[in-house]
Amino acid sequence: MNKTTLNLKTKTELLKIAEGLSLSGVQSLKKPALVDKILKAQASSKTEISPNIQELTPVNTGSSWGVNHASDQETVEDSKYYEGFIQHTFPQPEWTLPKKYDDTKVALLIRDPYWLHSYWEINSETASDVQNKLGHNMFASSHIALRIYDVTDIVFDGANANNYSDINVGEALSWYIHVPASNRSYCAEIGYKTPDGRFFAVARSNVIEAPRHGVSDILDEEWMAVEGKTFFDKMYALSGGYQAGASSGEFSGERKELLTQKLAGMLNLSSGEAVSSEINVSSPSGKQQAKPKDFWLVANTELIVYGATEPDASVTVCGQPVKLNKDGSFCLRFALPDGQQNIPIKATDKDGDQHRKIEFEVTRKQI
Amino acid sequence: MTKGYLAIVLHAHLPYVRHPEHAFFLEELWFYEAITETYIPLIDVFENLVKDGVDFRITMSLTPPLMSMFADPLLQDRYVHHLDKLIELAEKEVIRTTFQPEFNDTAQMYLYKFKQARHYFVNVYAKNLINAFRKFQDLGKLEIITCGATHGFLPLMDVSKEAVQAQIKVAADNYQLHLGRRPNGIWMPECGYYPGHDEFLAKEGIRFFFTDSHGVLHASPRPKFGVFAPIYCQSGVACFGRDLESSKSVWSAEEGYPGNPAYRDFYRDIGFDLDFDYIKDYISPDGLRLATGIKYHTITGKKALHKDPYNQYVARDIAADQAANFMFNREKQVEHLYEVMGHKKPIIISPYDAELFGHWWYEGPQFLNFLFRKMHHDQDTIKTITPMEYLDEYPINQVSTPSFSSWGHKGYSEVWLEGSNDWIYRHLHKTAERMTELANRYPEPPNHLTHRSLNQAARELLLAQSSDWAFIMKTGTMVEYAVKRTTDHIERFTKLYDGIKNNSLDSNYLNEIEWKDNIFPEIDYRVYASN
Repeated sequence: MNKTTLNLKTKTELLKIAEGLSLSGVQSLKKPALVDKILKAQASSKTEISPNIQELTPVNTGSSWGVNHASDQETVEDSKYYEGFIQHTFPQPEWTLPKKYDDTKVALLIRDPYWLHSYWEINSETASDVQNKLGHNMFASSHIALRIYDVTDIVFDGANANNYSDINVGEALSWYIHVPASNRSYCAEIGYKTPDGRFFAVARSNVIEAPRHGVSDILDEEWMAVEGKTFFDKMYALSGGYQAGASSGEFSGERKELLTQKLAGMLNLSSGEAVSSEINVSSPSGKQQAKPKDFWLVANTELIVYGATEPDASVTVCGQPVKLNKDGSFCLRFALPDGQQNIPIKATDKDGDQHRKIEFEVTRKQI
Repeated sequence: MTKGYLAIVLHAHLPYVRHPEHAFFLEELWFYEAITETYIPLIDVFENLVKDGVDFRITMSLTPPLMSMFADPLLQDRYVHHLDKLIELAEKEVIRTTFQPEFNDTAQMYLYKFKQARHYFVNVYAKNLINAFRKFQDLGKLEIITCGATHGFLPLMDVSKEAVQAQIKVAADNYQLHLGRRPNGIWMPECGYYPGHDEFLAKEGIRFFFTDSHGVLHASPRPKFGVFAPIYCQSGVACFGRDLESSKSVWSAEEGYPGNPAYRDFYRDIGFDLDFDYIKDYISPDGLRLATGIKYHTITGKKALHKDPYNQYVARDIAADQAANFMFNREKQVEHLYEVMGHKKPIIISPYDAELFGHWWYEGPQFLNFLFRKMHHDQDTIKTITPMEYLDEYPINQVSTPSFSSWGHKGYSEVWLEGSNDWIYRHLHKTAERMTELANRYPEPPNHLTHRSLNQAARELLLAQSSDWAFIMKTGTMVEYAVKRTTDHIERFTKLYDGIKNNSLDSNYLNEIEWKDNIFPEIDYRVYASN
């Protein structure tokens, strides 16, 4: 939404918009200040992702157990790929992904009901075209802008959007965009914005439908007549729509909000910082689990028993048969706990009529 | 009398990892471990249920990469070799723990299980586990459903409709190749549904899919029966929503069944604990310690530094108790719903990653075993069912459009679209765009070499699209490998693309990557052509 559109709205409408942007402390503001605050929030409601996204080395390296705020389910799914606290490293590849594809395009991806992601490119040919149209000076003082249109329920022709807002993206090639309303459709254009506010779009994106983050307001007419609204509430409750543990027998209108709140909580919408949710989730420098500061030592003992006899003899150790090596030798490793162990070693020759025995008594004691 | 149904859905998936160019490759262990700890134990449970005349129903998705790996002779032989080494190690362990009775019993358990696994794998199922799953499907106990061709996360692929369609079509065709019929249902990768994608399912004759709870709860118009009955998309494909209550009791690390202190601990493994000289032949040849699968300790407690020895009999009893508890809760749930729903029988959808059972939660397969037996013998309020059977009983359902959703952390796309992995999409989308360009340009391939290249290009695109790579980048387990896979496949595709466009194909290069990335031998690149 631009300044003009906002100025046309009533204060009540503006307060609603501010609420949707999770702005606080706005009740007492006069209308111009409120408009400014909303514009500022829209402009800054992005998460600054380093322009170097194309770098191959991702942010997370090293052991991740406990670092990321993964859900239980994610931990289990991740266990499929877990082999230990190691990182399998590979030599630097000769071929690297191109930084750009020499295209002029922009795309929109949907992250959740409140966040979109966009990436784009403007190739040099397009840039020259625009420069010719604008003239050298005007072009130099323009900046690249990403314009997000709300195109809910319309067939977008470039000029008939419900509203739009602009983001000054500078040299970046991607952006996370906070969208204030759910169940809306969006389309993006990338282009140049002149100092006098004109926008020259060079590419348009696909249309994205952001989902609603609550139950639908549309109740099928047919069911409505028969069952009434309370039935929906009950089914909603039984489906887990309310906080876990709430008995399905008791519910009230307010409780319906709980699932939406729970989802809102998951999406980190409750705080005033629209920016923070991205960083909370993925930043590796976030909350590291502190390693217990205790200094540790473990030690154990093992016993090796080895010997030899004729290769075709049969040997038992502690009553269990033992496989001999080709040369008649054998070697066994035992864990040796506290206490006394008796180790009888018996050999019988291949005809079964000669026997030899050696027995050890071994005591280990931890003092 | 039956008042409701329980549909347990196990999603079995691993990305296609096959490195013929190396004798040992660390990430292939994912597959071998899943076979030993999850797939064979589940098959063993099914075998015994059938033998004992216990009727049960279960749904499993076997993803195309997983099925391709099951059927691959190189991986089959490598698995037998891996298992033989495990058996050798287990024999040594039985000896080593002679004076430690608290561990010796468990060592013998492993030796027995590894030998049993080998018997199943080599003797009973001729090294191809698809034979096992198909057997239970043919017996009417198991419904095998498909998944995206390489488990690509479809909501983030929507920029190219051809790419989404190809993931579905290649999967359905691959399913038919291995199982001899078309799939009834599909597990959308990560339950990722974007409105409109059901059209692609309908085209392949797929009748149902699943979403997380909010996919159905937030559908429009609002579903009358919540998640306890399916809804039909506009296209007629049915959507079943996950039940939160039954999920939580299994998934939750705090309160869920797998967290019981007497259960086997996932992390303590002899690969890390024992003397290097002893264990070195059974870990990475580079000397990096890794998990062997032989673990002797219980979870004991959250912060416990000393962990107790594992006792399989105590653990098994707990699994039996938990199965009884789960069943009891489902009975109560169903009884209540049956009244509220005006005597329409509810269906409770309980989906899980298959690898939860056995690999993460060692006693998981036993839990399922006891659950099926108790449900069959001890009550008749609730029965297990497959989604298709439910649709046969209730063919009329409410029409509603599910919401965009996934079962990933936070319920949407964030797991696969955040700081660690968002950079990949520019490249994946460009590659998909180029693939469609090629498919449109060559409705008939001009020669054999180009034909092979076009098909191989399609394979490379599919392999790059695995959502596993973005997932691993986010969780950080084996990040370099995930980045390498993404880069390698896009590199191979790009070289083929340039070669085709410039008429400069290198047949040696093509031979090499055909050998390495040999998934979907049956693929036809034209699946990427625009309609």
